[in-house]
Amino acid sequence: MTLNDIQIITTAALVATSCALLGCFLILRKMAMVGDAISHAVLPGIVIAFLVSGSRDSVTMLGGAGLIGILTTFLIEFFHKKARLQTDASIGVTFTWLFAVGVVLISLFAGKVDLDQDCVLYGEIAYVPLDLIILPEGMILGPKAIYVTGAILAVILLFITLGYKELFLTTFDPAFATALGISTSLWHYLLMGAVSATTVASFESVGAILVVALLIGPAATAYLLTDNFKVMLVLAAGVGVMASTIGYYIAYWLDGSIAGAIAMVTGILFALAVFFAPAHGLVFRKTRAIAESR
Amino acid sequence: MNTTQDITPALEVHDVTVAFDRKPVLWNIDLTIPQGKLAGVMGPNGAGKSTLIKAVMGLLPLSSGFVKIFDQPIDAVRNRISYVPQRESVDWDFPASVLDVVLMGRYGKLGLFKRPGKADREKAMECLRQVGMEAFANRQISQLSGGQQQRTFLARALAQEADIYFMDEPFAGVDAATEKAIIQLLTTMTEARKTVIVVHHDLQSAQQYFDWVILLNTRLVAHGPLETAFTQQHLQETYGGKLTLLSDVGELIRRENFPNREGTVPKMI
Amino acid sequence: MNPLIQFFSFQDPNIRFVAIGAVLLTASSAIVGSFTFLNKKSLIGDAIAHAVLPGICLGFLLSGTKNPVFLISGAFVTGWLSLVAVEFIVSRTRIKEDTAIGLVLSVFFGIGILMLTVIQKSGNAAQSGLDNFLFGKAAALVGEDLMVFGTVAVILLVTVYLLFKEFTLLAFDKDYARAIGLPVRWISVTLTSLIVLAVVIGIQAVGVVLMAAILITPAAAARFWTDRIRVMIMLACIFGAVSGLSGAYISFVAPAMPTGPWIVIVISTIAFVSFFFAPRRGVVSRFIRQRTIRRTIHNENILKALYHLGENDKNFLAPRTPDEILSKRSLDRDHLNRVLYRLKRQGYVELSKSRWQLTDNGKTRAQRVVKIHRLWELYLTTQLNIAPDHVHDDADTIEHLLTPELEAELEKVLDYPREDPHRAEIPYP
Repeated sequence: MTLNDIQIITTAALVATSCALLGCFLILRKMAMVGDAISHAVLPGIVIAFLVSGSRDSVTMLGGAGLIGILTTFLIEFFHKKARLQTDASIGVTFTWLFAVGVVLISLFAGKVDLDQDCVLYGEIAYVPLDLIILPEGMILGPKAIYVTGAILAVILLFITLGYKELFLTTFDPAFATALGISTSLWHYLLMGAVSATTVASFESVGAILVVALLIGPAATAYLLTDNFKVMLVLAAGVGVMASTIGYYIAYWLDGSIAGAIAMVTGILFALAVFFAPAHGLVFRKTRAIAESR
Repeated sequence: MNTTQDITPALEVHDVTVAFDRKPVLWNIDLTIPQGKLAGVMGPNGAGKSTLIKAVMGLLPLSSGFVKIFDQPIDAVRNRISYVPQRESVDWDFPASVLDVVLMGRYGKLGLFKRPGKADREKAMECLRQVGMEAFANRQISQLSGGQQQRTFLARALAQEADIYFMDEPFAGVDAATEKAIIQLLTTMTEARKTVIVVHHDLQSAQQYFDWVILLNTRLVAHGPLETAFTQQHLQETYGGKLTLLSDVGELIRRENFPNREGTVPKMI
Repeated sequence: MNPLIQFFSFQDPNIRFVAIGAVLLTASSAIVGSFTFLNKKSLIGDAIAHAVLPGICLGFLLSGTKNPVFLISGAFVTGWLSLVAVEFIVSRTRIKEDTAIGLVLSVFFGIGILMLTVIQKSGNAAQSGLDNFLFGKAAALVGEDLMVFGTVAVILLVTVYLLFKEFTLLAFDKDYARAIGLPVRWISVTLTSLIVLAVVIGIQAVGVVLMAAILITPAAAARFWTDRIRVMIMLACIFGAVSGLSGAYISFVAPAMPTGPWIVIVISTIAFVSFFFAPRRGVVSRFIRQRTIRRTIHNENILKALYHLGENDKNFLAPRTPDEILSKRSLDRDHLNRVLYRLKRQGYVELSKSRWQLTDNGKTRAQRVVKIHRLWELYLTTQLNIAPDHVHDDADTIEHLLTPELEAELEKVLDYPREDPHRAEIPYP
């Protein structure tokens, strides 16, 4: 395993962990597709921020693009509540439109924006080791991507730790939360903001589709493996890291997209859980049923 | 010794109209419930019983009127109010243990950023003991029966240490033993001058359980002590059938997007 | 020659083919997508669209060429597979539907991307242009490709035409369909196959990533213009066709651009215009209606005030000063003037020497409002046991709303009473 390998896998693992943690909340809130929508909708924000700020390094890019993610949530809600469009269509119309705008912007400003329309789908994680942070003194700090994704993970961990019980309660029983005086909409928008930030930070390395796979796959897998929420969070992160590692080597072996391979592995791990999970897996349910009928 | 007992009504509902999906489902409700009562809210399906509870809790907006609890707006006294929602309102596949759920009742007291501590845990266990579920503290909620789920919710409500308890259909789909145990507990609570307001569906048991009754059918039919409110005539009026004219007018309001009250034209439809 | 004219004159056969092809694809997708919309399953279309990518790659790998028959077949297989997977996950595990869709969508797509990149790097010359399926390239719709895709589109349209009644009934009331003996399962399967097929051919123009938009958005837009299913589907078809044509045009003017995003932008714009400006259901239209309602309320309130003044001294048509009116109903003076002039324009009041008086029309209208107000108060107090001092506000609203039919019913229920709860007389014409 070379330094390159470690750097790429680390980046993927950091992204996977952030996504897995947030994904646990998303799937329990039945907002998986909203997460999918946000991960697509941040694209125009990223492109515009790039055009405006001229570079990819600014924090403003993360902020501005992240705001688009929250805007997406507002738009979906607007179409649903005010225009009275059904939920599934509200989500579908919003994110396809925003993503289309993003792709068009990339095509139009291809020269000025260092993004490729195919790569927004699956990222350029292979190039992570090449984009290094070099201090004026000449010291090389390492790949920029690791710092960015690492910082996002730190923020996410802080968010989840500080707001744990509010997030937990508003996910499980929003009516009770309101009755206690906890604002469900505040925590909803905070969560969506976190998803936006994670999506934007991960976009460059892993692209839109992989973010979705990492948001949903590991969390869903963990959901089948445990009945304890804290354990579920940890397991999801673990599954995410495992998928990153295995996926990387498969991509290396086949000489294909790393992001695509990681997404595939999340699917395989999920399938394994579906059949072989100790409590909820189908194989064990069947053998238990047979044993109990004797 | 208390010579001047506090006679503030536990709940005061004044001229409350509530709309659901832009159609009024409760019209001009006026009622008070004194402290220390075990009150039953009853009426046919779709009468607005759950709607009333939700409106009182602030979960639904009021189209008119106001609600006061211990003579104050609800936001000022949330720490004295407890809510037991319908069992279906929650996904029981959620990865949580019974103790996790009961501890949620302490969140209101804890405030932001604080974690439940040892004292909270002990209080939660005590509440589980009161409902006979302390052996299930670490059981996953997906493995509970209907009665056990209800008792978990009740324990959560007890953990709030409130003075007034709102319960939405706590006896639905619950076995007889659990129902008996719950009623016993509720009666003990009212003897300690807690107020308990229960949305209930069974007329037979209502007579044995409650000492205060509210009969609803889109509007208030009767309310007051069991003896005076729970009469044959009132029951007939409550369960006698829908008020078609009222329903038609409500439907018209919904279709035309009419404001429910002249002053309160909805801001953006 | 101006490219716009050059394109839309359709003189060049190539342009004709591309335009027809794009329109066929998007229109058939829009029609089929209308049914997913009605079934509230729009996002399943998204899942299928992403899931066909590995199938396309598979078709390529197995045949070594970009033969459309192989690609379509491969896409069809994985498209169907994705649905089976979602179904399986939802029914056999505790995973909920939205999670299952998102999972299947991203995993299948990831596999597709993996296969695509492997193919691209393999150096096989035949693979160039395979990635057009990601974002669509309507210009690639020429020659034999067009024949194949076009034929499939026609099959789609014919099948929808034949099974239209069945599809609509299923979307509207599945249980009833089952009850009257329709083979619900087979019809569902057919519809699902049509959806997968529509996706498979639609991605040529729109691409995998944005395919969902062509299924969902035309239907969403059409929904705002009508309540009738036939009209809705026709509109969706037209909207889809327009966006397809725009895509073909873009392909012509800027061959390097992917057509998919442009098609989506056009159809989304149509949708947004519909959401805001469609009569009755559009946001703006509803806002305007609300304003009209508020105007009516103010108009009738002033008429009522004039009527009440008339009740006081038994002269309904006497001229009144603004101050007198304000004694009955408090209002901003400027606002009062605006309302009075409006009423004058509508013929309900007359102005003479700075005094306002009811016309006969005005008196009739005011009388009706007052009558309904008092009847409703009586209804609330006698039938609903509501306290007399709480009924006024309610009646103040209802008086403006009641239709003549409900008014007649109200009278009947109360048995044509003479007095309201406050002992005021109920005026009958």
